[in-house]
Amino acid sequence: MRDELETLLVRGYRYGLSLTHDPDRAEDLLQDAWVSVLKARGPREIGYLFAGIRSRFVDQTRRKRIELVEALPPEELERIADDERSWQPEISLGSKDLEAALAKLRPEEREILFLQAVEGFTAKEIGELTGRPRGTVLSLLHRTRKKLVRALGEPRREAKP
Amino acid sequence: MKSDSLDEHLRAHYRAEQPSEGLLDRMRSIAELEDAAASPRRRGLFLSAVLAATLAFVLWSLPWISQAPGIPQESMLRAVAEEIALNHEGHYEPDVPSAEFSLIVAALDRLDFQPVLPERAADLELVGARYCSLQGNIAAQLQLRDDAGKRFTLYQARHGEQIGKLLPAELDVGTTHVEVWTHRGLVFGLASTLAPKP
Repeated sequence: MRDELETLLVRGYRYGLSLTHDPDRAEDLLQDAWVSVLKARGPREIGYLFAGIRSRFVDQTRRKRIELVEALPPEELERIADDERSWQPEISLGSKDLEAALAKLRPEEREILFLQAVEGFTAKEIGELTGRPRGTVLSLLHRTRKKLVRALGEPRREAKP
Repeated sequence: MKSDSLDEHLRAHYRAEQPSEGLLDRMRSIAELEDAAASPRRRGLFLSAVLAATLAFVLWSLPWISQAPGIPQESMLRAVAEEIALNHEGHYEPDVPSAEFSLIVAALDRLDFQPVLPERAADLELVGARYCSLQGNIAAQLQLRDDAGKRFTLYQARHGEQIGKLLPAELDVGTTHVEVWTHRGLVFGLASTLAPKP
């Protein structure tokens, strides 16, 4: 049975993997961030660990890959927010298809998908972790989903109720 | 082939990923060590263990440091102190007779380092300076005196590999008392004449 510490570390590793798309780099990021959390006697919580992993990743990539994403107008954002909650395209694929499609995304795109779909973070929580306004998060999320779906091939879009 | 929502695929994809067992073990061990160091009840034991290990290492390594070829601590210290004492007792005239340290620094421009006035000499009055050498290295001799007029000479040179290993020490060479220490890449020596024995 997995203990609390292992659960925390595994989640940290997966977050690192979403950023790097590279298992070795994800392990390095996790280890560096974990040592830093312990040395700082910081809380052994997911938010703190994620922030440490992200900060190291950004340092390593020297912030050059973190691009600004312009926020859409407020009414468009609200439409997107509703759309994001309801639009879950059904797709048929093997694990290698998804792996290949994820490799085509930028780190911040994989990151935002991971945080929302796997970790269940809200746009506000993602914004707090990544330092982006909620509107920017929603824009990026919207564009990233479209990009991923395109990379996977056109899915069958479910009609909204 | 499965037909699921995009998020379900993403969840399944990432949840199938695991760090290596070796990494998890290492990180658990690091956490346990940190916990041991942080726990008030166990901190004493942990610090004692660290202290004991450090002491054991120092005791083990001291003979190696003093006996290793090329690092003869005592003989090097003695040689430096004797050279300082010789310079001190030479009563040489200063190349730069000045009480202004900045003038002395500017004048001694052949030195391969920037002379400094260490805290140990803070209460002494500067009267001049000259070039000299320590173990073949170009050095500065600052000439000073205290309130009572007692004469001191202060030596400094960039230390080489061997001279840099010197630990702070004080010793008497004939009628001269010598203090030796190193700081920020320089070796220092402060010499004064011992009071005559009654």
